[in-house]
Amino acid sequence: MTKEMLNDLAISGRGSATGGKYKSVKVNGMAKISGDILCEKFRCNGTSVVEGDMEAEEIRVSGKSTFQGDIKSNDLKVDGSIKCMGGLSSSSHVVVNGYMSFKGNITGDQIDVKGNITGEKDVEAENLVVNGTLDIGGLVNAGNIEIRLYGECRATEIGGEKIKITPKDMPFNVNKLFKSLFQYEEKLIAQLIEGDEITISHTHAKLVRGNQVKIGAGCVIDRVEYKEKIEIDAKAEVKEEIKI
Amino acid sequence: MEGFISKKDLLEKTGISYGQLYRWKRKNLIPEAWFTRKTTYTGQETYFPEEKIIERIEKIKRLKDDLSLDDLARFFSPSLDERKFSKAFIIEYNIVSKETIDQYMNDEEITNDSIDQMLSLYMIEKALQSGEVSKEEAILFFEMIQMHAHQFHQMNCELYLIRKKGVFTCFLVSSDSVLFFDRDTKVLLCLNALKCMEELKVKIHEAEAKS
Repeated sequence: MTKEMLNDLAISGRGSATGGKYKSVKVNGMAKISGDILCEKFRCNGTSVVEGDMEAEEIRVSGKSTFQGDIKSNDLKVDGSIKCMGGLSSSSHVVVNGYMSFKGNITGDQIDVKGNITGEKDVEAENLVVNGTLDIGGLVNAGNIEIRLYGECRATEIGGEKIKITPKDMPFNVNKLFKSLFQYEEKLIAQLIEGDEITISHTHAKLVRGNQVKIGAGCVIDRVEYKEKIEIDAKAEVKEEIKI
Repeated sequence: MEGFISKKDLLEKTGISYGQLYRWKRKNLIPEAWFTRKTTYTGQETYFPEEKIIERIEKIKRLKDDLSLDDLARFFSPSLDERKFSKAFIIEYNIVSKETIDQYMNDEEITNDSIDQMLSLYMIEKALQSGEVSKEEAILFFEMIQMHAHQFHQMNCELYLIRKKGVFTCFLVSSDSVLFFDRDTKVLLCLNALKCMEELKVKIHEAEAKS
């Protein structure tokens, strides 16, 4: 196969461009790109809007990027915010420090979010680590799920091998100060949580099912089904527990 | 629900864990379409088509020790990878018998064989083995499979071989349709293309492991 000669696209200041195939796409400032983009590297420092699908080996956003179509990438890193009307599929890393919002499915291998992750559909990953808040309309399915709650979180279903939901770690008085300043409560609301090893706290769920289940403080659970082991904290509220 | 099994019962029956089920779903080993949600008194419960899911899980359990999950996903996916197989390879490992190959393929075509053509050969082999179809009749449906092979990618097809008053014919139909025949019509054989593909992929894999 002959290697195509591809051009770079660079927008500095304010500008617009059409989509297409590029080697690298770099935005410093503000840009609007209409059409699908296929490139090796996409970098945005500032604000960008892509009106189409995006396919890139590597995507780096520092600032704010909006995508109207689907995103396909091996390596996505966002410092700031990313908003997408489509879905995300990444074969490897997704790192977001800030805010991410997707209308479609979010698929990745390692997903690491500090801030907020919002998705209207499902999230799939081998490893999902969230420090912050999460709002997922569908199923969160990952081998290893770790959520540190910094506010109110929602997910319809959570499933995987290891599921760990804990409150954020912060010195007690700092936490108290925080809470008095901002009116919020750290909790996670879900319909169903299923996994092999489940350790949860501050979680409200209708049904929790697993092999080894540990229900921590602040949980309100309608029904727990477990196979091997169960531990329930004194500060948790469990209406029904059943060994299967 | 008849013919359906709840997730809880399924895990108990097959002895797999929640984690495994979710992992397999993530790897696309279990099609999304099989997850059917139903409201029950405890909230929502997921149901699966019993026969299909149990067969699939048993298959995964049997193969997962020698194969990576990604390889398995390739087995179950309806798409075909474009690979080349030599005639010698096909015959040596008894994927398709020599007689069938000699009968239905001429030389140049076989040396550059893709799995797509292998599937048609494999299906013809199955039909001939059933003893319901003569060699001449097999040519007819062989041509038909070849002509429509690309459609196997998109949908789950079933190949029907029928005979009415001594006249043989065959057709392809998407597998979720129900068919009714008049009383003179005899269904000789019904082959599911996806299932044949899975069997074929397993056979090829076993052959490759040996070689």
